[in-house]
Amino acid sequence: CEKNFDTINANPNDPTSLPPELLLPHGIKLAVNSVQGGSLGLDVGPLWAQHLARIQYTEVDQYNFTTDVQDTPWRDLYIEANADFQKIIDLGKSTNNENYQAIGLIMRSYVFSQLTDVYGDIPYKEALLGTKGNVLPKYDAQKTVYAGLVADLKTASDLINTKAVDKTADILLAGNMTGWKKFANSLSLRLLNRMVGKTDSPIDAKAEMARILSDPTKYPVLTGNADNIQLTYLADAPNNNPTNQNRKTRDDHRVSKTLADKLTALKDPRLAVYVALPAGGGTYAGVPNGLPNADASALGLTKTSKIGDYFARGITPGVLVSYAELNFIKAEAALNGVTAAGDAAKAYEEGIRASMTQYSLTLPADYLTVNKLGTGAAALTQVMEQKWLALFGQSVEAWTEVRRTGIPALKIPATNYNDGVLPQRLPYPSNEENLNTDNFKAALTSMGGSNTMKTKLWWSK
Amino acid sequence: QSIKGRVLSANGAGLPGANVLVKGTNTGASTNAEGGFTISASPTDRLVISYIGYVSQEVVVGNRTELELTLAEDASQLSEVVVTALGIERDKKALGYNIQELKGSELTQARPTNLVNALSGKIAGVQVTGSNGQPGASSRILIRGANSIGSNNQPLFVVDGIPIDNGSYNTAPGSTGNTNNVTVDYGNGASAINPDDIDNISVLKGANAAALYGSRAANGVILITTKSGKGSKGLGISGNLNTTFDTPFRLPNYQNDYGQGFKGQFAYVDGKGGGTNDGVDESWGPKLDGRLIPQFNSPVDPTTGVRTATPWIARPDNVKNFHEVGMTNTQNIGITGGNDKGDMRLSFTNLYQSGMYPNTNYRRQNVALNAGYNLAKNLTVRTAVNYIRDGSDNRQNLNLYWTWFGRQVDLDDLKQYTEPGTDPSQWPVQRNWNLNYWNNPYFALNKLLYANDKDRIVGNVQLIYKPLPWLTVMGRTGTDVSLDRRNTKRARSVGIPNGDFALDNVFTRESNSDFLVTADKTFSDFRATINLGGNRRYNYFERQYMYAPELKIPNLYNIGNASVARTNYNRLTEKSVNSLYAAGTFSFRDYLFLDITARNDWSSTLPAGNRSYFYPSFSGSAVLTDALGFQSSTLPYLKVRASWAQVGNDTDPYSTAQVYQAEDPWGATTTFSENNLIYNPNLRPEITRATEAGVEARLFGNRVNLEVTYYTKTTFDQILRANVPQSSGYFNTIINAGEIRNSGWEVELSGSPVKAGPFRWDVTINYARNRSEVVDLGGLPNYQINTGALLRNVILEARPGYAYGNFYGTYYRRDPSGNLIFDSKGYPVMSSDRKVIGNIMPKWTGGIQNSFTYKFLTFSTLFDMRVGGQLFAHSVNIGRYTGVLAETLPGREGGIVGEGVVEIKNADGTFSYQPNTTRVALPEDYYHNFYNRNNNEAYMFDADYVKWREARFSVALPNKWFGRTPFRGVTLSVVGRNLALLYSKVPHVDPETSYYGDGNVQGFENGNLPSARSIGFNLGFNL
Repeated sequence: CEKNFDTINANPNDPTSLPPELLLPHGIKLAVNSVQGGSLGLDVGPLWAQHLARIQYTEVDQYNFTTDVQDTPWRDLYIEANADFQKIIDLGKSTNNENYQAIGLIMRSYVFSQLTDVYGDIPYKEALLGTKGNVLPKYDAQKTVYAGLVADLKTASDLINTKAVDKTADILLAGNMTGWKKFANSLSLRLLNRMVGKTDSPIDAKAEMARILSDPTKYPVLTGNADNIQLTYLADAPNNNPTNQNRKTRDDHRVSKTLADKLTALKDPRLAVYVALPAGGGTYAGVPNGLPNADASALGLTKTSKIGDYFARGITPGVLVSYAELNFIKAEAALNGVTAAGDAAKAYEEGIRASMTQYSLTLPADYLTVNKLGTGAAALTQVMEQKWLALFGQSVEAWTEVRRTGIPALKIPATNYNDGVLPQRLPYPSNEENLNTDNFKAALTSMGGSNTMKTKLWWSK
Repeated sequence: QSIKGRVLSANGAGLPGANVLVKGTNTGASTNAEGGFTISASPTDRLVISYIGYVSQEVVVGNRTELELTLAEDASQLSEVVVTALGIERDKKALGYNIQELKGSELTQARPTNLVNALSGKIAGVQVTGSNGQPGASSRILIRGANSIGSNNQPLFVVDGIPIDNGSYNTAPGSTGNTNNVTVDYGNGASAINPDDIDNISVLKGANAAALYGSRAANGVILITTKSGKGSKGLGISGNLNTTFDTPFRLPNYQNDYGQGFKGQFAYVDGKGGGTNDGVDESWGPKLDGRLIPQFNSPVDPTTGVRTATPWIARPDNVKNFHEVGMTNTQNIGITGGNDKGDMRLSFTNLYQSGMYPNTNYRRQNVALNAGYNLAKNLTVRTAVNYIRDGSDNRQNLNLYWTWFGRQVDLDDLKQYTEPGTDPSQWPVQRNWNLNYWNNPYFALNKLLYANDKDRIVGNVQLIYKPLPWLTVMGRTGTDVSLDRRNTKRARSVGIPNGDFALDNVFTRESNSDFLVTADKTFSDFRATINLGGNRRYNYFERQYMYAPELKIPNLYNIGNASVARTNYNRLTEKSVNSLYAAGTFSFRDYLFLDITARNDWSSTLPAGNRSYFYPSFSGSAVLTDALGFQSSTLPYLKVRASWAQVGNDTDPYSTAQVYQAEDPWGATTTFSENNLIYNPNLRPEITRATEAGVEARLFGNRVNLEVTYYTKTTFDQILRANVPQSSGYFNTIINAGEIRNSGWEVELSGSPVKAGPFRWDVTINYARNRSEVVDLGGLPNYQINTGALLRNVILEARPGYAYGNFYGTYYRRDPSGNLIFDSKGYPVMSSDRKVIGNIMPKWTGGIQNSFTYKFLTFSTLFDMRVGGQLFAHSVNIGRYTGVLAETLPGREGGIVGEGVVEIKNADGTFSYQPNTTRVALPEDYYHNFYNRNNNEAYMFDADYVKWREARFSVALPNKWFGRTPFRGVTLSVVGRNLALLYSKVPHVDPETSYYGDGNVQGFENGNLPSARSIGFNLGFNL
């Protein structure tokens, strides 16, 4: 009676096994798209960091949004990106390819770092074990996640050897394993910089920074814009830049008045790259964040500035870590007493120069004189403001830095749905509330708040 | 001489299968499907006309060549033969479970296009939900509630013994997919069966009646027997012509005082935000008092390009007048013939339906052949083949169109849907009231086309061999094969940057081969019937989907014309189930009955160790009036019955091995991803157990029939695709878990309150009450039923302790007395958490059918109703948000104070409440917050309704009127469906609608075309 049943029930459509590189393009694309695109990359990051503003449907600019805004990044980062990277790590082990293990670890760490920066405490140690018998992972405190990621990134950097990696499958760095090492160590520095000075840090962040910065042979970091960790998108859907895809059919965004005014005041050449002239003529005109719909639309779609054309192209890269950002990390660390980070002013100036050359701009002759780095608290403000400008196009990172340092001090929209404060996190998705209820509640207790946008994260306390 | 005649029942309908015998001879005939017969007799002969359950009549032939007579029901021998599982015809009194039967004539009375809709309100415990009023749209049917938490809950459809496919395959496949906020409904498979070809339908409601069908019978079975030429002598021709007119059943009640805009301001420049609020698609604009405002249709000065302001006035009937009168034309012709060697029926039906939206339609052609031939004295061959071709040139359904809208818009002026003077060989440039979010509706209906063409053959051949008088051997093989070719052609328009094109081919095949050996022996008072059978089932499914997301050359719909990477997808699945079964029926003196069935299935979809599963059923009944001999004219018939059954069920193919998933390539680089689903190598079959008990009685000289049934059914070890926390790296997992229990009462009461000479009044009442409870989900807190893109993030779920199908979502915060709590700005406060805010299942449903007959006139009417359950009426809340509905008028001038309380925190930490006094100045601010799109409770409405479902007035014209013309049995009727909504708790929209078609995700309305009110004319005749 059951002759042939095994044959009949063998899936002819989908593979039961494959080599690790086949998982790489999807994982990388989804990881970068989740941060560059979707509500997180197109709205939450740019609007809440006040790089952009909404001119239509302004609700999200007033911190009022539908729950898919909090549900989607979690879903895509865990089940689309990180499930792939976990599998790549597993397959890297079983096929004895340390380099795939390292790539999987580095990308998984990048994704975990985005998740914890957006949500706070997250499942980390017990996450991604669905096919291994644990579907109800416990949450880890943000500081534990950070310490774990620094260790993972060191492991990954140490694993890298000369074994071959498929160049076409590695759509991020084309099989350049030194590039992956630089990514691991630079990302580590980003995380460590946020741990410096935290008395309850599980690891000695200064010492870890020194480990990396004092041994460039073993722990290389980005040394120029050519080293930027970025995904160069393809021209057309479905592999184009998410902003490009969005602007094909929607016209809801403008450059924020906060950013346009700042660049104008600085006579900053980046203005012409970041900001477009209004379609109806006239000079650069940003839109204030969070206006009521009627007031925003009254400003006129043709009388206000869209995002610069560069950022609306299909092939515009999605940047994960830039050389400019690394310099601002070093500048801040130097100001905070990390001697291995070198001279603060030098790093600050190199950061500004790198940000301009990233867009093929020439640093105006007097720019560094006018904006010379001061001392004390003023110096930190300068570093963070320049970092905020340099992180245009990496707006989720900019939002994180604004939340962490309060710099620049942003004006909260008069109409807002977060009691007058900048959102400190996205609430956990309903999926976790419904299905992982006990662990979800424990995480909120541990963070000391309810599931709102007001709960401050560990690095901003 | 040859005599042509027709035998009618009391209600004027032809009686098929009645015997006409020349008394004292062996010459006889049976009436055909329309009650007609032809016989040869001499003038001195007497004809005896008899039919089971009716009083026989004798007539002298005389010099008549034509004869029409009416048989009266025989109160003393009401024997009713019904078709049961495996197509076995049995006396209804011998059954230990409920079966309800509908004659073909009852289905065609009110002329629904979709067969499933004809069952609405007529059978206790059957719930039918139509999707929308689009031609060819699907309908869902549910019998005795939902059994299964996650898999299909619809019954199995069986045509002439062969299971057919009732799938819709509406979801566009693929990872990127063809989305753009449009759900296209391609109809459900069973809807293609032509009602004109149906002889009768048996509804086997539960596992008890259907246990012999095995795996798929847990949800009941709809057994369809098509018309045949059985019993016909010579040539018979019947025809039917029908025309039906459709108008919208219910349209929203709009406000007509304020037009498009915000803050009372509006001026059109480009419809994209270039003017004053001209990108806005809401109606908070200036008062419609005739003031002069530039509008989309205002004349433009050719030199300056400036629009001349034109009067700003109300267009109260703009939406209503946009709808056209839909029309359905059906022509059917059937030819029957037969002699003592064989019989045949051939029929052809042509149906064309134009929709209520311009440029939408549905068409269907059916050719049906049903024939039998006696190859030898004890060997018969039969075949039934139905070829169906159906499809549509456009199934466009303007979701939510009229809810984001400017009330002043003159829709007539949008018929010119492209800008005059634009090049038609290029992408058309639209002319519209808004170009920010919406297409011109005429543009959408003419340039965004969703078409399909489906070819399908349902057929079987069987051989019946009777080697001995008590032994029958039947062998049969049949198949249902269909290829549905769908294509979507969309021009460049709002949300579609460069036009797109999709091709989607869906191929399905189900083949079944079975045999049945039946032994029927009587030993004095005992009779035993033993059936032994086996079935081999094979399913094949293949889908090929090709999508060009953007096109290079305008208006050229070819996949090769894609200007960006194409999205292609293909999938095939196979499944096989083998079965052996046995059934024994034992009766004593024709008043005590016992049935035992047993079946074992082997399914390819389960792991090797769990592939084989066995399940039995038992049922018994006793006709007490016969057994105990207390028959009287008050209580001529009383029967009690009870049964217990178990049915096993398998799962979808390929559920047991973990696989990777193919994804869109990165340029030329192939890529896969870790699957979101955790597969399960240890699945077991899921099991449904059902019990049923009932009483059947005839009272007052057979004037009243009463049938009462109580049932319970429990499905456990359900195969679920349960969601898991996404931090596990996965979206869902396939598990065996969970238990869902349904129990309920069904009452069918029918009778003839008045029988006075030629006048007769018949009433049928049915009532069904079902209680469903999700008992357990194997430790999971809930199971999410709607897992795709959610409508406003409301979750449709199963949750232990509740009925199946909860809405779980956000809600208004209220004080302890139930008043709404308002915040300091004067807006209602929404909860930050979610709770159960509604449920899709009705508490009870019912129908009342009345039929009045006077001689050849019949008037019949059907009302049906639903009590309990909720509907997520998306368009109602959005219409309140956007200011298009009538109830958004208060507060337009001078603002509004919401009725409710404000919450004050006392010093001791407790709360007290005082009336809200904060006035919100701008009405749109108030309504945007009150009908907050994230507040799921604002969309919830009780779904109770009473509908006047059907009415029919028919005249059976006496044959003598037609003299020597060939026309006989001419019936003229006026029929109506969905005539009136007599009561509804849902405002503005049809309470009975389903945005997501016929799947398990029910209870959602999304501004689709409302169902149709149909009025039509029908002419039936024989030649």
